[in-house]
Amino acid sequence: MNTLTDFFSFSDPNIRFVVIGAMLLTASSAIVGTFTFLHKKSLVGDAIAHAVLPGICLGFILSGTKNPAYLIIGAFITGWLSLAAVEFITRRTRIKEDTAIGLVLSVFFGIGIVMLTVIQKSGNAAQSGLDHFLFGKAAALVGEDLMVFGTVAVILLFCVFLLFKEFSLLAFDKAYAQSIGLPVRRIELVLTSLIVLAVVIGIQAVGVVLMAAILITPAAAARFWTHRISVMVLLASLFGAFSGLAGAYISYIAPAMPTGPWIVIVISTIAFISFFLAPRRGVISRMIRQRAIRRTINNENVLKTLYQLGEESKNFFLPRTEADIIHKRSYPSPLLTAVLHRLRRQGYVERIGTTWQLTEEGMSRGQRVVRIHRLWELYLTTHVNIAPDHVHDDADTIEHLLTPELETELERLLNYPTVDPHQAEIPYKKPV
Amino acid sequence: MQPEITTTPALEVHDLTVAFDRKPVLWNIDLKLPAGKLIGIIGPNGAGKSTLIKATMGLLPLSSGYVRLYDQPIDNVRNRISYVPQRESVDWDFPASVMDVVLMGRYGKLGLFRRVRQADRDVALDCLRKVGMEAYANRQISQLSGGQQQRTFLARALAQQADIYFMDEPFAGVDAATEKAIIGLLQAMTEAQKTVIVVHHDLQSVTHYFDWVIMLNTRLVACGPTETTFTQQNLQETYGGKLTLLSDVGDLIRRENFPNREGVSKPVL
Ligand SMILES: Nc1ncnc2c1ncn2[C@@H]1O[C@H](COP(=O)(O)OP(=O)(O)OP(=O)(O)O)[C@@H](O)[C@H]1O
Ligand SMILES: [Mg+2]
Repeated sequence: MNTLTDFFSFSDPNIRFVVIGAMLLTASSAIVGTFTFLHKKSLVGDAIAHAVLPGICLGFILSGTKNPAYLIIGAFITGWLSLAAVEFITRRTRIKEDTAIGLVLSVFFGIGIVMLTVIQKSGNAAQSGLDHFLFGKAAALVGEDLMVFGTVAVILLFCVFLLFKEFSLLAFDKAYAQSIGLPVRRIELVLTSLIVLAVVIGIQAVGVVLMAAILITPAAAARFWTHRISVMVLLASLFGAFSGLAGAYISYIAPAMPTGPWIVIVISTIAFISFFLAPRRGVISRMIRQRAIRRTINNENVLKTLYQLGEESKNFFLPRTEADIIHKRSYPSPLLTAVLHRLRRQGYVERIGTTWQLTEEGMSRGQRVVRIHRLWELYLTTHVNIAPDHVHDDADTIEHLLTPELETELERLLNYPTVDPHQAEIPYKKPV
Repeated sequence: MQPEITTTPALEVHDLTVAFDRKPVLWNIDLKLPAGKLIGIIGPNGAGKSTLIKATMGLLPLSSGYVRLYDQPIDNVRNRISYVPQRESVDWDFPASVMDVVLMGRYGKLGLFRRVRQADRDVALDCLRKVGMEAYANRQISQLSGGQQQRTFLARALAQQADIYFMDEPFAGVDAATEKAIIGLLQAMTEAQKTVIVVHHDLQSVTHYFDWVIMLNTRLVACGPTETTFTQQNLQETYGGKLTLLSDVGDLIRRENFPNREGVSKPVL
């Protein structure tokens, strides 16, 4: 038996419902979630997710059925109420938004749990399965659910498509949006309604507790990979859809595995990977860049030391032992050996027996570092008015950093000086 | 105190009071500004300069008074005004390019739902050129220096092609050469009958830059042509001595939970 082909042939209508339903849910909440994330409303998403529970119970009590339409209406109402409560508390009292969210979240959720318990104890046969809203029931989605999800997903997409530029502007600079006369309150109202809608639908798959994760995590993961909102929305929805698919597949091959939590685990893994691997913003690429910088600094420091030794003995190309170098400037011995070997491979020094000798290129690079160091010291004393005994450490960093353009500018600004504040000669390349 | 303006004023502020958390930070401001002038707002930190701009543009609730632009309520002339907020007011680690930000200046003209068109891009690029930022059009805004951020905001305001500009410290973090270039640009704009209102901190340059000045310290000290208004005495009044009484009364209003400017009655002074 091949589970993979069985699964992806979608011949079983149940699999079809679960997969399509899960992907619709995760992708559309990821799209709305991107704007939630950019509006810095991530916590609000969590509050809404918890606050819809009493609404669902209320919808059931009043209608007496589990018809999703009634439950969604109930959920929508209490979800909205919770937001109004948060806004009221932050406006009218000195309580800050995060505290207000915490407060509202727990009160609404508490009421929801009480109502759920009451319903379950009531002996009403129709109630069985209502607790699915706590942890989701993605594996039990049926055709009827798909109709509802599909409709909501289309509404969400349509609104985001229409109001894309408004949502973006509001997230970046609300005061400006107001100044050009955009109906800021109404646009925010639409966005909040979309968040509530996405949450109300999403909790049927993953439940109240995990909802915030499928709303926000895809956006957080996408942010690592791009600097453009449109790409970010696209990526977030792809990440979301993939986690929906993966969650459904995992619970298909291992039926004891719940779909909702697996969706969350997959999307969290994607976020985790993005955190480490993404170019530029990711941790690993930052580490690699740091490492490259450290190497350059070590290389240049050793070349500088060799150059300075050459200055002292007026011969830059005398072979030096490692002890000579350490005597001039202390390095851990294994590090120095490693750096020297690297410099040899790069053609800046040559090895003669146990001694090391600068090549022409090594001499000129060491000279450049020394030159920039002294120029910078001079610049700091003459143009920035820093005392001569305070400038050395600064120059130690700048000497590895300055681009050739800035170097030229510095030389011009200082009018090609010959000595630094400590009367050391500023070396220039001999014209050939 | 203020010279009469014969033509319709570009901006009229009448008895404007603004309070935060009940404490008034601007008291009974009355002023009229002529069109086609470069106007500086000066005053110490916390004087309410930003607040005056925001309140004028209708971004803050007023405790009293009204504002009229070109003799109309502000909401009728939104498309004629343009705003450069203080640079620190936004999060620059936002996924957008310089071009994206400048294009926001076109959103007012475009209106709801409509997409940005090629013509808008042309305008945006032109404005970037005016502030010397065309080379940075595709740069991520998180990678800009402070001065470049400021110029991006300026380009966005220019892209609005408005008649009256409110700029909150557009020269903060901008180097001297750029400041000169921008002032030249603003002066050219006023020659084309645009009105430009600039919050400014460098008192040395006030007489060189501005046709008019508004001198502000919680209340209006003076407002008028620079030659007659920017005097030693007015400066003394604006910057010298804290207005302790005014701020004490403000604190009192908050502490005692006083009603916030009921009806048209004046605050107790
Ligand atoms: N959102 C706010 N909530 C409460 N108080 C505020 C708020 N914004 C400003 N204030 C207060 O209003 C007063 C005026 O602030 P404003 O920002 O207008 O000053 P400013 O003249 O622009 O100062 P700066 O030169 O520092 O920019 C200050 O005392 C400030 O503490
Ligand atoms: Mg200010």
